[in-house]
Amino acid sequence: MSEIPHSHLKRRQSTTARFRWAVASRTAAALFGGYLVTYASAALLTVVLPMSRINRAVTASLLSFVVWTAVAIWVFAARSAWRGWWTLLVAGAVMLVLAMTWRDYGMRP
Amino acid sequence: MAWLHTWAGLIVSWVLFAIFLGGTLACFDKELDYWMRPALHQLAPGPIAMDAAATTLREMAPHAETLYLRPPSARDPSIHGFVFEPGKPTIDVALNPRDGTRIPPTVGGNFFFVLHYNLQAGTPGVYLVGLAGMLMLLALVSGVIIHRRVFKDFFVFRPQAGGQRAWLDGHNLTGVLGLPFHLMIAYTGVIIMMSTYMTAGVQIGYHGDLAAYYAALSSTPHPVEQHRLPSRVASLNKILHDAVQRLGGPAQYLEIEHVHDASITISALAAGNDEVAGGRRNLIYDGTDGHFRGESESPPAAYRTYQFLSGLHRVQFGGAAIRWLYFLLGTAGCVMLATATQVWIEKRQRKAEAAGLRSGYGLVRALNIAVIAGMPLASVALLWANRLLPGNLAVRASWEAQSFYAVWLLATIWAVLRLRRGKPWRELFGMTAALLLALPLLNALTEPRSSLLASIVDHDWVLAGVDATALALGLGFAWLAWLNTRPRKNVRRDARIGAASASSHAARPREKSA
Repeated sequence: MSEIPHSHLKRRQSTTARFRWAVASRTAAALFGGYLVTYASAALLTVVLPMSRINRAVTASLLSFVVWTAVAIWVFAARSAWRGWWTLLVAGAVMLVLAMTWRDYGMRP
Repeated sequence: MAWLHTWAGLIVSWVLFAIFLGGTLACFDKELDYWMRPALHQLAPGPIAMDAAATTLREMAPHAETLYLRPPSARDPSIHGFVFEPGKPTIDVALNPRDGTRIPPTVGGNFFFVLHYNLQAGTPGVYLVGLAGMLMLLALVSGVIIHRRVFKDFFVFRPQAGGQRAWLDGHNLTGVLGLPFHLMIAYTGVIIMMSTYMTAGVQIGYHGDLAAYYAALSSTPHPVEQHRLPSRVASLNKILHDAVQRLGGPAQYLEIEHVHDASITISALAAGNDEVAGGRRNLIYDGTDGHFRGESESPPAAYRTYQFLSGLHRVQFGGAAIRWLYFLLGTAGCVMLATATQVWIEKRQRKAEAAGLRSGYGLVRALNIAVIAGMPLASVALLWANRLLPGNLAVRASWEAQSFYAVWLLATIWAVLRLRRGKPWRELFGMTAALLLALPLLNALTEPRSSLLASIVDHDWVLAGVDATALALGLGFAWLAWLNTRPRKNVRRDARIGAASASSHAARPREKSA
């Protein structure tokens, strides 16, 4: 999807279909892509945090909503919705793969 | 960033308003519980019948393995019994503290608490509320980013400017006033139910075994089953008495595990009303002879952090003063959300008028009135239903809830029908004011021994407080109704002036950021 740069964003254009689709796309990215990254980050933190297992799991979950907030705001600041989408998908996939690879290490007490 | 704020704020404003109003009222859920149970008013002094209460609860749930009993507290003189059995509805019953018998059922102030965390819609409701909370967090953080002049905005309120200008000033004022509180409430609200929707820690750390995860959270080991009936059952009254002595303060509840087995175990959790995170100490007793076995270990540090954060949200610490503070800040949140939707609607007024009827704008306006003016009316109607429905009615509690929904539906219909010809804002606010102002009168007529005057004479400040608060809120709603009596023509003219100044005002920061 081609994007309207912020600096050219005029009131008149804010009602165009293209603008609306861009907003919808970013909203979806913040919601679904954001959840993926958040889930993946909590999974990875549950593996790597230097504390006991229950503390790792709870701390990762507590931090996850801070991650989601930051990620969702970043999506709306990203240069384009498309860029927001692929960055989130790649980051989420990488973290999830790492967490799954080290899963046994993540279950240490 | 301005558009994220508008969108994230808009889509969920109505849902959030319902959550906020429910949560604000739930600050005083136990006080409302008490007001709604006249059987508990003017109890004769006497011992607390924990054993009789346990017998009643056991009859209600004969196969339950675990029972919970909450002893009377300063906020609620009843004994509360809870049973959570998988696949069966949760039992939450108020019992007479003198003889352990059931008292006439009511949804109580708990109705608003449930409305607050799942919109009375079970697990899907928990997800929806979690999502709304997350969007609120986003709206707040992006709101801070776009309002770089937060401090200046706080001192700007121009009600005379009318229309959109005044609404936006009001939104900024209540938004900034409550900002630290709202940020805290949004984050802590989202994390309370995190084990429902953020399961990565359980999936990776515990291979998805939720039971193992919960076992690790609770530092009390479960008793090992012995597969024979207990020879006898210890006195809960004695155990509670001993626990209060050892804790040096009240107990939050007694947990009775393995009710039908010789391994029956009773534990008493400290109320911990002086700690944000709530009680930490948990005393364990043998359920057959009642001897004290010891204390369980402190919960894991991260879980204690979770308890602190959720404690900040659930405000069971610090007494009435802090609950009033939460109530007032929660009210500011309701006003922030109400003004937010109003800004959105006023902004689109002229465009929608040009587009004509088919724009759906009228429906949006009517629904906005239905949510913001209708829900307070329905909430007061719930209290009226509590006093008007007969006490011996078996389905009393569900009828109370249904009168809440029925009144809300009627308010919606009213808003739709009266939008063009009438003044639905004024009419619904006026009705709410009338019901609130007449509530102490209704109370005095239906329960003379619980009237405002009688409770003041008895120094029953919780009971008197509900009636007095109804009067104060009634005056508030009367003021809101009066505000809406200004002729619509003037408001519209002002709105145009306001909109003109608002758009020039709004253009500035955007140019700066460009």
